[in-house]
Amino acid sequence: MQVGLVGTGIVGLNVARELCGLDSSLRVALLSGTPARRETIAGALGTQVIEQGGEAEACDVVVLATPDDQQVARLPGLLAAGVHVVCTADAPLSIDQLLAFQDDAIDARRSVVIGAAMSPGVTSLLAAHAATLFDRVTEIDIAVSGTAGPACRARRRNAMSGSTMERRDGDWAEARSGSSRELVWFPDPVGAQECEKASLSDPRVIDRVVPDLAQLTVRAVRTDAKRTLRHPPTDPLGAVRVEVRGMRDGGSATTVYGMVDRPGAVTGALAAAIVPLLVEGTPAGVMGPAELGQTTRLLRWLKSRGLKPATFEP
Amino acid sequence: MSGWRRASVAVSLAALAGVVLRIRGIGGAPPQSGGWRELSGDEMR
Repeated sequence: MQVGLVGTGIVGLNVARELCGLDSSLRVALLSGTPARRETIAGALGTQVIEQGGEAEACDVVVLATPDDQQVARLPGLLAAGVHVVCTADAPLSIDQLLAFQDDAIDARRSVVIGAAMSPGVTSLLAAHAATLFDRVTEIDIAVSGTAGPACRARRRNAMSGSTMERRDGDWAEARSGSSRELVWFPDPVGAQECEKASLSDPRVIDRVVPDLAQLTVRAVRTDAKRTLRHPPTDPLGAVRVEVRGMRDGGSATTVYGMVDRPGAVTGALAAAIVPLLVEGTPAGVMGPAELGQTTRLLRWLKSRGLKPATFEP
Repeated sequence: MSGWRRASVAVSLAALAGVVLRIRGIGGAPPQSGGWRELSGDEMR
């Protein structure tokens, strides 16, 4: 199997590392990046990485780990080349733009997985899994902390202003990003963080797998612009928290899931884990990770890679 | 004059409430019991 990788930043490096750990016969073709960067990655990961990449046509699957807008621009060409695509883009606008390629993906008989990232990918998997524990799910509240590389940090800063869409009383409603501050308890060591409504794509992606919720919201920890500009950390710890409420065994119930790790590492592990599923055969079209019908398999894979899905027990 | 006094007291109380909420956050009562535990393999089937 040959997997093309576009993007050689923090997420791209993590994807390449995870792909090499999937299968020793798998080859990773670096389709972008400067020669020096490609040489560094190939040197770090060994002979499974094909430094000079070549064309996307030679690949079974291409993973896009570039800034969001470049992923949207690149997708039509990849579908025309007849490859499956995994997109790590996570901004709401990008997710909507990628979903618009549904007919093209079906015509090309290829699968495009969107949001293969800590948020909305892992949050949607945790939400989908938690939903199976209920007779009826009424509310899901997502909280996200942390970012991977500089592009991710810039998107998070933008996400804290403007407006966001959420489900309220069963309907989509607009909420002001940066409002409704609330303390949220993530798994240790991230712990309690002040979160605000944020323009993230989690509601859009989760609504496709757990539809018709009375409430579906997302909050995020505000990125400290001054501190990160002065001392930009390299993929520090991040966390997600997924609180699901509904009816179970005739009464109301709540399940809380969470995960803590470096967002770049989580995104890399998830994007890589999706690749063999696409080669094995998935429906044509554009879909989120939780729509692949392999939620528990993907969560078990993340756990096997040292990531720790957790639950809060009262 | 008493109107001014009432208004200034109201503004002061509102500011104090704002400071408290700003420092402590809203709506997030810390969990009094329980804790996080890793999901087992059996729970992910």
